[in-house]
Amino acid sequence: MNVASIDWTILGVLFLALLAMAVWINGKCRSVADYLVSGRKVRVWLGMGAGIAGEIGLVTIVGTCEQGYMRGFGFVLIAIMSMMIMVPLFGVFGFGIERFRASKAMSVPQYIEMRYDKRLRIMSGFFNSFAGVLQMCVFPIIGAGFLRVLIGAPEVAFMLGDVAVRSDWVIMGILLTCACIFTFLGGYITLIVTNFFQMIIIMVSLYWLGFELIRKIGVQELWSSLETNHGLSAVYPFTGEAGGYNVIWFAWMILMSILLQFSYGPYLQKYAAMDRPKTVSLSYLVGSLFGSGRTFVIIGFGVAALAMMGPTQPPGVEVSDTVWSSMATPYFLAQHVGPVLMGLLLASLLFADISTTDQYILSWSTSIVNDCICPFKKKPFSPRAHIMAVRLTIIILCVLFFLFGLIYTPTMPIWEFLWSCATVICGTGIAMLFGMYWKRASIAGAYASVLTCLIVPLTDLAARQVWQARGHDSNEYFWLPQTSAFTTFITAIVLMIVLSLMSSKPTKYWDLGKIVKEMNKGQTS
Amino acid sequence: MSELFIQFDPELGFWSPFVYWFVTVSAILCVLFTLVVIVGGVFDLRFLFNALSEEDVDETDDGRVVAQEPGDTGKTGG
Repeated sequence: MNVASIDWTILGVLFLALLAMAVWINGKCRSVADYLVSGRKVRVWLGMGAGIAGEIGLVTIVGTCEQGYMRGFGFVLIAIMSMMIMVPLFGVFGFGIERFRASKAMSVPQYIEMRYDKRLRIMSGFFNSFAGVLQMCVFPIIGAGFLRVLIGAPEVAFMLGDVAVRSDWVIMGILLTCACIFTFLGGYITLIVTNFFQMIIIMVSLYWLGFELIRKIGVQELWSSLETNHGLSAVYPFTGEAGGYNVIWFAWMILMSILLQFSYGPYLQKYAAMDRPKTVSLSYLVGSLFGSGRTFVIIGFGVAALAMMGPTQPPGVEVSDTVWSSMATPYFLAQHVGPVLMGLLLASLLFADISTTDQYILSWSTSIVNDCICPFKKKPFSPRAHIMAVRLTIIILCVLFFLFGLIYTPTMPIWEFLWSCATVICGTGIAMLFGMYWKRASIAGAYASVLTCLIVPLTDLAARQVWQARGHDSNEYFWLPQTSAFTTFITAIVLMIVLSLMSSKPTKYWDLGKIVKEMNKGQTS
Repeated sequence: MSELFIQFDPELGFWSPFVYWFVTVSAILCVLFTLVVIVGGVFDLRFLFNALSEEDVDETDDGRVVAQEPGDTGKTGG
């Protein structure tokens, strides 16, 4: 293995320190609101710091390094264009996200019940949780694969009778156990505090690694090899190459990003935990403006791998061709990262996984309990039973992810799978958005938007599978996945508007804009 | 620092130096921003722990929507 004793020691000490902190924080949790949204006492810098750790997941690092290796910095221009839309919308005007915080809802489905009806809450809670959990199923096994290559562990860890126990499974089990422990102890309070300290370790490690790679390779060599290997597509995304980006792709990505701000559970739970609406938009603003730098540093690791190893798999490497692009960077880092930095890097990758997994798993567990179980109970849970229900759900989900990881075989690129799941969730975002701003947004319109974003993508996915099963090339399907998703969103929005205009029933709309102003002035809490 | 001033492939025109400098400046700003977040976050941690120990516990604030009065368009427990 590529890991020295000092590296394991560093990893062990940091992990135990964080665990001790989590045990201590557990005592601060006194209510369900504390467990689920930290009592809504998270201020801007703490929220941002914890949010950074939550955003830098191990799967994100894997995917971002892969992008760097395959496309260099081609994504930068798209990031700039995206910021020009998203930052004013959410960071300056607080579009939708401030109103969500003002509603005091803990989750998207809870707001759906407040604004529309209980049955839609249950339906959206169920579908969103299902899509979110499905998305998360691949996180542990993908992250484990990356770590296995990084530490140089063998494919098979040991034999259990006739069964070859893969190292990926062992690492996956460790990752899930760690995430379980931290969410179990103290819920969202623990998550916020430990994520904050994990952020410090992650950022120190990433930047130290970045400096080391630049020192070894040199900036000129890095950039020149990128230009040589990828040409214009390394810095400009719209070259028109097959598999590259285009205008429809960008339009779809922007619309999906906007809708996810109102529908993606982990995002909304983070906003619900903040002390007031202005904190939400401010943390988005500052986080977006300065957060792109760390993404570029991670892309740079993939670029460094490209510079040192070239665009094709070196001979003698024990990784299949289909996953080489995602394994190139850990393979490269395993050869070039020395002791101490390797220990810190391992700790940061472990914490990147824990910080994201625990945020997401707590969010989806909360949604399952609050939105899929509680609405059917005649008598509400006691606070103790409520927290226990969430904890039990966390354990069940971790077991589910482990079992999924045992049988998972990638059949599509990671990002395509994640975005397909996200499309299902976006229907609720349309219902949320219109609900918060339009008095006439009706229950019928909300049902239509949620169902459209469920039925169309699933039908499209099934049709593609049939197309491929009949021997056709997936690239010859009559429309691209992003065109299908973009059309789904537009259709759902049109149906929301049309059905709402046709409805004459009074709605449960209330003016959240006024509450935002009052809360930001401190007149209410 | 002088290492940052590199040569670019002229065939790639404006985009190569533009993206390079954008990435470099962003990475540097991110370091400074992280330091600010760390300092600010420590102060916010103190606020969080003080606020959690001082707050009154509302047992109905658990994600449910309470029964509504006519004209009352929705309340949480909290």
